[in-house]
Amino acid sequence: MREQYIRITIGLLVALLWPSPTTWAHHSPSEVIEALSDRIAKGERTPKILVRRGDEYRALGKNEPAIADYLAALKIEKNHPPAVYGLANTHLAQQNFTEAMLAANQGIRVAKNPDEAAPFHAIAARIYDKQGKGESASAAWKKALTSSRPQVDWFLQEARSLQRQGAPQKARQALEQAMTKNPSIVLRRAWLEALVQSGDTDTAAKHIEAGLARSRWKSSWLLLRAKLNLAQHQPEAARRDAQAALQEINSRQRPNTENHYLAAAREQSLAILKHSPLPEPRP
Amino acid sequence: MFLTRKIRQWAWLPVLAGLVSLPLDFETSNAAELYRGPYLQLATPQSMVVVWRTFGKTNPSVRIGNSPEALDRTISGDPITLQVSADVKTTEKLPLLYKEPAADTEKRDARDDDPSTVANTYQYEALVAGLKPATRYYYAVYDGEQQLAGGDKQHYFVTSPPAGSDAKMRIWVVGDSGTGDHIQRDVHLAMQEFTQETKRDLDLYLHVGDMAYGDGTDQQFQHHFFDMYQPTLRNVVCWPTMGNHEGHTSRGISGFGPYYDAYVVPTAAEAGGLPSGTEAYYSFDIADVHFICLDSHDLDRSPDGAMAKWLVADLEEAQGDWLIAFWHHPPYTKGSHDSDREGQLIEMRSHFMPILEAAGVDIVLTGHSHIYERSMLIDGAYATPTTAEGVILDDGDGHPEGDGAYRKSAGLNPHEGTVAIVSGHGGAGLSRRGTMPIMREIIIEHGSVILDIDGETLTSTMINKNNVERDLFSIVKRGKVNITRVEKPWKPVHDFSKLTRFMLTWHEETFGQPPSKWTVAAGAPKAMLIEPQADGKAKQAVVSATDTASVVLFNEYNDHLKTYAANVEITAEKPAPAGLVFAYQDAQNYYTYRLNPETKSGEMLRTVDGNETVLTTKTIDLDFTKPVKVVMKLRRKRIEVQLQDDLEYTVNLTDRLPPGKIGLYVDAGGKAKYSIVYIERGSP
Repeated sequence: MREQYIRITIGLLVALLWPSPTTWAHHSPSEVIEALSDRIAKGERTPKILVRRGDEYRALGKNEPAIADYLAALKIEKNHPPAVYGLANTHLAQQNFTEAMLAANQGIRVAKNPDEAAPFHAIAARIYDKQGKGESASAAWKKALTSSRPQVDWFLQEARSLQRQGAPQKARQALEQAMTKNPSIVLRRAWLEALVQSGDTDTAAKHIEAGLARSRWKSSWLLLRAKLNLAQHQPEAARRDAQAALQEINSRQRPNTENHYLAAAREQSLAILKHSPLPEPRP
Repeated sequence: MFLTRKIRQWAWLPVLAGLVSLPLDFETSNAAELYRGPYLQLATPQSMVVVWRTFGKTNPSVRIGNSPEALDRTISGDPITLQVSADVKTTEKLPLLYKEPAADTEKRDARDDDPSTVANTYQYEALVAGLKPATRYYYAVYDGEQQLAGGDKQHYFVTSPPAGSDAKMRIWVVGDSGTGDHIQRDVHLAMQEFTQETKRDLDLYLHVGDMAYGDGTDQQFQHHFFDMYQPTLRNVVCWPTMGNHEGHTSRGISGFGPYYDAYVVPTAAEAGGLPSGTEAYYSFDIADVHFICLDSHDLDRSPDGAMAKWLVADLEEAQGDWLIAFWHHPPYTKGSHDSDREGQLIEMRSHFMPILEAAGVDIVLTGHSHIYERSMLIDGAYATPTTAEGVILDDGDGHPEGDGAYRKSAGLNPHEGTVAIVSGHGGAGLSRRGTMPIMREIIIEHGSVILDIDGETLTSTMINKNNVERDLFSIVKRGKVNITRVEKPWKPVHDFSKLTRFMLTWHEETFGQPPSKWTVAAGAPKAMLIEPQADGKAKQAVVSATDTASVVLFNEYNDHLKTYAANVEITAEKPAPAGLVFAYQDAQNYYTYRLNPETKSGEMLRTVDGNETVLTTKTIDLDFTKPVKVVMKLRRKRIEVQLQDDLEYTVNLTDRLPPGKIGLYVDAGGKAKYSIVYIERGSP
């Protein structure tokens, strides 16, 4: 009973001394930077705080001060993983591939398990991809994907890397493997594209028809079917699909505003129309 | 009523006292004890997930029935999944709840909470399947034959109506609420009062992030979310999106952390939509409403990223008549955040709004910015900075008894208009830094939003923490509506006195001319001119002085100050003391902080009845001919000065700083450049 009173008394004292609720307010990156700078200026120059400030700088696209903070964190603790990660990503964003790779390798070296190493392997893979080093990229993606929580983007990027290397079958297999680990529709759609590219048109056709039947907006399915038709040497059918897709895209796109997805789909439609010319008129 | 409010305001004290005493009990208790929930997740027409936590292992089951007295169906065994805290020793390999990595624990600041799950925790997630759509069920959770919670009229849920059926639902929308204080409690109570007065219960609850300040730790989730909202969480599902504060301990990339432990959301289209394969973003259907949740915090927000690709695919197949999207970082705001300046906000606007509007989105709900802002009916506002020109489809107030409800065609049609709502006013401190030109309502009060959908009509009501209606608009979707754009739309009033923090810029001023809104209080008429910065584009103010000092004052501010900051650069060709003027009463009474290049020092001065006194002089080893960032934080009887984000010192005052004007100062014969002038309003 006495212990309970003591607890309540301590609790009330803590409650009365608790900071005003408004102190929970959070702020914009520049204000967070200011608050973190405040803490650093008052002597709290820890790797964690420096990395947090570096991340905020990175969010504002200020790469140089971000790098300075990551390096300052690494001066205090030479292998602080979040600092290494921030540094690698910032260098990659700046296309400083040598520095980015050095940081990625440092992250891999100090990781204690595959899960910790995976994000650094992914950075290495991206660097290799950007440098056009396909085989090294594939090897790095494989290592990243040993993680127990691989990202959907990693699977996609691995498949894209393989496709760029002219290995559609391998890309398809990689995506099939990915789909056993993650049900994302994005992987399934990429797999369907890979089916078309690798020539498995029958399987692809079944899925495309089902998708067309389900969908309210059909342009992506129509474009996929157009590619399938091209693969099957049916340019007229491909043209019909591309035209139908283009019509739908135009109905959804507002003039003079940017819609990356619809613009890309529109370009695809136009490219298919360009490569599947109208048949010569019969005499 | 007043008494009730007073009691409420202080009601958090004993609660907090209780919370402080709890961990002692946690550590000493060995008996199985319910400490979280039961709460509801992942509702579908045929199923519900009931979640609860205990200290210590139990023999778990859920009993359900059509009345509290007849819980005649028991769910146990395989449909109940178990996760445990990392300290629990088991022979089987169980999924673990969040534990802070050892390396982080060693380095954690003593002031920060341990984010890990409390020891000896068992979390149960029971999938109750085979239910009838739109049906009320009562439930209880058990340890063997011992009832832990429920079995009364307060513990019930209603399954979702079938997908595609006519919508009739009430949704509670809250953001940035997780303080655990009396304001959060009042906002919750206001919603409860509102639902009682209007005799309509909630059907679901959308939380737009920042539900567990400050770092989204497991215990912050407990105290700032579950303890607060349990009376609601036991009856309706909270569908969440992760805020940046949860992001301090949880990761969208890996789906790991206290946030992901707390929620069970669809990854494989369990509640409609298409599989996202992640709990970070997902979709679900309730009746003819399709809901989209995005992660704006820590995932790839590029148009080629997995989240954007998933969204495109999901919306292609969405079949509802209403489309509601929610995430944390607002595409349009000038509250505590600025969507014209911050990367995450800009990306959500420019990459995701086009996809959503091309699919006919009706409502976009966000938080992050601690304010209530609600747009007109807009479409195509993707540019940075956001302007109202060409993007307003209806500039009325949307009130059925005012300018009339917003009109859209029946069903989902591209580019017929969206209303964007920032609901970041659920508990955290409020602020406003500007006026977003597409907004119809900007309200700096704590509160929440209630959405009522009834067939072809959606009504959104903002109630403040005192349950007073502060905004209401409707959207009616019927027949075919011809969409036109308003050429000269209504503009929200830019009332400077309502801004709580703001940056002074000169981008609308003319090079070589004195700026508007500034007055020369001492010095030549053209003592202040606008000139280009080094890049030749950005503008800065240049103040010069001849044989007497120049003081220029900003006309629109005469108030208490909390923060006053600027970049000050003393020109090498005319070196003389220069800096900032504040608490300016008149030409005889004011304060000045100035950098003195001759003595290499920062000087705080007070001028009383025309007599200048130096309060402090601090030697500063900085090059004053390069921009020096000066930040002053003004407190009751002291001023904290910070230079270049690094050097910091405090100046103590004998009197409290009065409210007053602010300005810029240059000593005789000098010239200085000023940029990035920032002000945060103080309180009396």
